[in-house]
Amino acid sequence: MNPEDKIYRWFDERFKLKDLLTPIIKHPAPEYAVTNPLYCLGGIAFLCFLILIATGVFLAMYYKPTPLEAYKSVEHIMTAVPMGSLVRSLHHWSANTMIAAVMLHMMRIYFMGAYKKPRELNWVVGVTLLLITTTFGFSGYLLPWDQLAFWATKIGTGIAGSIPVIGEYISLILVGGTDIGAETMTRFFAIHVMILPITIAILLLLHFAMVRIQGISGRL
Amino acid sequence: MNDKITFTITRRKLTEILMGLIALFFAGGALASILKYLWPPSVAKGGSAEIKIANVDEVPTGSVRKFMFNGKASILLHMPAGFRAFGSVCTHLGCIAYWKPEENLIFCPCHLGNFDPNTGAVISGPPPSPLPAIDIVVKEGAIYALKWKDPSYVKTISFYAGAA
Repeated sequence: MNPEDKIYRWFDERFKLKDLLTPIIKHPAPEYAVTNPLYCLGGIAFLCFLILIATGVFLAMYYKPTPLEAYKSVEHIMTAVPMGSLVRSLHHWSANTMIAAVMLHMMRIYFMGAYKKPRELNWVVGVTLLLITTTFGFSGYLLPWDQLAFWATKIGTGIAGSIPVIGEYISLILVGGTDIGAETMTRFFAIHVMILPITIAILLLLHFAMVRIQGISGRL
Repeated sequence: MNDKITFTITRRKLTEILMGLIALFFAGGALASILKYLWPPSVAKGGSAEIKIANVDEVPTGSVRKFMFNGKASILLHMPAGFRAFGSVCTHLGCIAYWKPEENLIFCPCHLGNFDPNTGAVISGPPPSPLPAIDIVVKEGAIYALKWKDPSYVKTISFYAGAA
C-alpha cells in the first residue's frame, strides 16, 4: 500500500472522510453547464478571490498604513522585496479581473433568467457580493497613497457625503475627520483587510450553499 | 362575518414584547457606543485643536508661513499691524491663494482673486466671500492656531469634502 493511501486510511477510519467528501467531489454538474464556458464566470471570480487572499496576506506583511510610510512601503515591495512586484501585480490584476468576472457573471445570470424562482435570494446575495467587491476595490485604491489614490478617495467620500441627510455623517465616519489623512488610511486599511474579507467569506458560503441546494439553472 | 377588529394579548405575548423591548434597548446601546467610537475625535471637539504654527522669531514682519489647519492649507501673515491667519483655500473654486508681498495682497492665481491680507476681505475678482479667518494666540514666543473664527466653515468644508 502507498504511503499516501495509508495516510488517507488513517484519517478515513477516524473521520469517515469517504462519506464526507464523496458527495462534494462526485457531485454531478448538468451537461449544459459543463460544456458552456459562460458558466465559468462565477468560478473565475472565485479563483481571483483566492489569489487576492493569498497575495493580500503577503502584501500585508510589508505594507504600512500610515501617510509617511505607505507609499515608501509599496515602493519597497515593488523594487526591493524578492518577487514583491509579482505579488503586488497579481493582486492588482486579480482585483481588476475579479470585478470584470463578477459583472459578466451577473450579466450571464440576468440574460439567462437564472435569478427567477426559486433563486431570488441567491440573486440578492449575489448583488450584495458585487457591491462588496467594488467596495474592496475602492478601499484598496487609497492604500498606495499616491495622487491617484488620494483624489479617487476624495471623490468617493465626496459622493458618499452627497447622500441627503445622512451623507455628511457617513463621510465623517468613513474619512475619520474633515479631510483625508492618517485616520482615513487606517480606517480604509481595517475595512479592506478585516471587515470586507469576513463579510465576503460568509456571503460566498451562503451563495455556494444555495447553488448546491437549488442546483444550477438550465437555459430559458 | 365578524367586522370587529380584536386584539388578544396573552400574558405570554406581553412578556415577549417586553423582552423584545429590553433586547432593543441593549442593542441600541451597543450601536450607539460603536458609532461613538467611530466618530472622529476632532469633529467631536468642534473641528478645532490648538496647533503650533511657528515661533515668533521665525516669522519677521512682512513674511508669511504656510501651515495646515484641520487639513486645509492655511497661511500665517505677519503684517505691521500684527499676526493674521487665514485658510488659504480660495472661496471661489478652491485653488490655494498665496501672499504677494510686492502688491500687499493674498492672491488666488486661478481667476485672479485678490484678498485683503489684514481682514481676508475680497478686494477684487470672483470670490464670493472673504477668506476664513483663524483665531490665533501668541504665547511663550510661539504662535498657535485655535479655531476657525466662523465655526460653520468646518461644516461647509466637510459637506463639500469632494471639492478641493
